[in-house]
Amino acid sequence: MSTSIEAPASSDTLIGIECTQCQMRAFPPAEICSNCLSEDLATVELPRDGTLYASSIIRVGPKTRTVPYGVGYVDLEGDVRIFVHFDPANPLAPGDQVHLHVGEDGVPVAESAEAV
Amino acid sequence: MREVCVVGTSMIAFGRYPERDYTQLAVPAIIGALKDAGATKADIEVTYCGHSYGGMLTGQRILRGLGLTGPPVINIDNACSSGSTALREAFIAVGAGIHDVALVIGVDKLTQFGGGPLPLAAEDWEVSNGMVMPAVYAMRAQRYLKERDATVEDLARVSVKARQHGARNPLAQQQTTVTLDEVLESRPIADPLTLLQCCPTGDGAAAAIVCSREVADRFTGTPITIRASSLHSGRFTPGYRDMATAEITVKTASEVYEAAGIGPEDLDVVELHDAFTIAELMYYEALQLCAPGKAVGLLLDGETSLGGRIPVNPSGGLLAKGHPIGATGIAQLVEVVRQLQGRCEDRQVEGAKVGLIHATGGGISGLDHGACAIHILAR
Repeated sequence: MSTSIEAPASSDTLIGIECTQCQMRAFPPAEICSNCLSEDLATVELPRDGTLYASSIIRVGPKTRTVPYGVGYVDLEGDVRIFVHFDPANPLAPGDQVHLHVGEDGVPVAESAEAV
Repeated sequence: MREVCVVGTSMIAFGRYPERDYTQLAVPAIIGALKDAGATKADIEVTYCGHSYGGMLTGQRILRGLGLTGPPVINIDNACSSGSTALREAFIAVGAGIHDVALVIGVDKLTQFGGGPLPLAAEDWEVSNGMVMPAVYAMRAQRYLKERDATVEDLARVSVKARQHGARNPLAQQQTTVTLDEVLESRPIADPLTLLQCCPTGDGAAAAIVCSREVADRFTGTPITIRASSLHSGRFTPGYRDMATAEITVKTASEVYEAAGIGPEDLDVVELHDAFTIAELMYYEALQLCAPGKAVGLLLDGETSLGGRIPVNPSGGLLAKGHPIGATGIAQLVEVVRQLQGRCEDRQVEGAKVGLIHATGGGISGLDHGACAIHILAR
């Protein structure tokens, strides 16, 4: 049985799941494995350092959000790609090494590892 | 499967029609298609209606005032591939002998949202956290420019070509040409994409009459055969994937070429899913119109302009013609059918015999796209 998991707010840990049957990892945590359909999923702490795969600064967005804001994908070791926010004042480029923390809304926030 | 063909087509000029409802958008296209085919109400045995934002029973609402309900009506959502999926379902049903004649409609009204990026399903985690389609494509562009050694000017030239073609299409939403500088200097939407690199918000409808070849002589239109249809949904992965390669289009294209017994070199005209400039370049490669890495050259050499080796989007594409999402797949059908019938006047591709239409649908996190539908047409 999987446990219902929510990414903790304003946290220093990035919680994903790892399937106990096939070892597939995912973030945010899923309730069933998309690879083998197992519901036996373990919570795992994911690395908080990764490589930025792609990013964009959104300048026209949904009415519920203030623009500009940055979105991107970060690749973590272990074949996990996560959606992130970043501060548009410090744009990120593909290949940048980034460090992550979890924002108040549960979305990981990426910043350049060099800045830390 | 029996041979299936298209005997009538019609579309309204795409644009902003905030005062019209779905019925008012679609009815002129349906009447136009019936007239184009020389068909009557009594001929229609089934209707497939592709749309994403019309709400419950959109097809029935549209057909009610025409007295065309009674026969089966199927409403289909596959985001920007809704119209194409509706076409596919008609193709399958008619080909299987379940029906002889089908009406296919594609319609959507995006002005109901007042502008801005398309509202996507809020249940998707990334969407609920600010992801929008322009940003998805912007990230593809960022990767593509890096990996292919291309420039943002190369992207902008896709819009210049689209607008040149669209200026010859009275049904296109954008009727004027634009310069490279105008494209680059237009309002930034999601870096590096500017407003003129994105398809415009608008409304529209298109319709077609699809029938088995056996009954095509009942109608007056020149029948154009649907040689093959292929549809996929995007594969999900929570891990790494190549955003500069259009995975779902690569797979769907290979299949449809094989099903039609042709290769990309046999195509005379293509209408592909240029929702954003980067999309067109990626799809040149995914549709095998050129080798990987050669898309920019194909564009800059004029090969995909009218007069070139393989004109792409003579209608103006989504960038110039517009993209009321459910209508697009059928609008692409209208263009290619009319190209093959020789009716496109000053945007006619001379001697066109074989065409391809391609639509990809929508944003779901972890997938290339929600859907991709491709059809091969031939006279």
